[in-house]
Amino acid sequence: MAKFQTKSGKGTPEIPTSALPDIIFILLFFFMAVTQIREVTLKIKNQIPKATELEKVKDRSLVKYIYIGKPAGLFEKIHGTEDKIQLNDRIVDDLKAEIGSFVKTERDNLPENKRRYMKISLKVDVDSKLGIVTDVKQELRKADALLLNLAANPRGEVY
Amino acid sequence: MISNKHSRKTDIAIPSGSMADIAFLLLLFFIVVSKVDVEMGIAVKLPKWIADPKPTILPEREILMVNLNASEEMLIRGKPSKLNDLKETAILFIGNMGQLDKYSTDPKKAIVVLKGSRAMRYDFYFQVYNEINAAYKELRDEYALDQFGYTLAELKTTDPEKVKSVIDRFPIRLSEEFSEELEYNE
Repeated sequence: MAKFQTKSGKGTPEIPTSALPDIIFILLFFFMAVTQIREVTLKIKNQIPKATELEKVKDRSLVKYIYIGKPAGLFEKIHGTEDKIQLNDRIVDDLKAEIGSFVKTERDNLPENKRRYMKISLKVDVDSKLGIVTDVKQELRKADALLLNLAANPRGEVY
Repeated sequence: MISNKHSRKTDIAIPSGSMADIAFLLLLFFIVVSKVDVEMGIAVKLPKWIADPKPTILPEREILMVNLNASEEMLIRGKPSKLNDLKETAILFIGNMGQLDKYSTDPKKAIVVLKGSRAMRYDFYFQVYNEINAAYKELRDEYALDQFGYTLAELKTTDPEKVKSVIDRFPIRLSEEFSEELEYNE
């Protein structure tokens, strides 16, 4: 009969768990690489439409966001109930000047060779009126920001 | 072989048990403050800004007039239609290649014109825009399969030159005009 050596109950774990922090750090680096820090708190209701003919946005570093919707919660008291535009963290009112300067600032923040490829992603709430979106588009044309992305979420072929 | 014996002095043991906790905390922090949603949307290239655009006159057959109103009703060339009909009609119109007299002669000339009210819901406009894009995608895919044996999506990963030729054959030509009238009732 072979000798069976039983270890006395010392409580030392068989599996070396010293590698666990390494695994977690790898996961952490993964998350850091694939996600963006959410820099903007939405002050407006922003449910974007669902559609089928969508494409992924490549190179998110070149994408700047314009949010459109009705002010949410507390901000209703300050800004009212009409559709508003949010650029970064602020709700803006004077359209023409603001969008122009927004485009200029964001463009200047990009490296020179990439400025032509700057994309503006319009995240518009489903219930917003088309009028304000049209105005934004016209201002973007004036500011020579011609590459747009109309943000939407995918859906199946459902009517 | 002399087996390794622990020296008399006990090794200084850094309690590495809490390393995992620190790592978990950092990870949780990152998950909470970041967003992972994949950015998707419809790409649009706006026309350059012209201060005083001269209206271009086109033969009626090259234009597909789509009227929309705030009650989310649609007229395609004056005929009341549902959203479902738009894609089919647009495909027939754009891909006509001169066959039917009432539709376009060439996809490079065909224009879809959207006219509507500024009071319309964005979602309605978006679904209309989606259908028009779906029509173009179907036409482009059919052409790409015919010419190269692959759909446009497949070509995008392999051959950008061929993608360009497909897109040039069926360029998205769209004109939008949204005005103040709240109701379009004709």
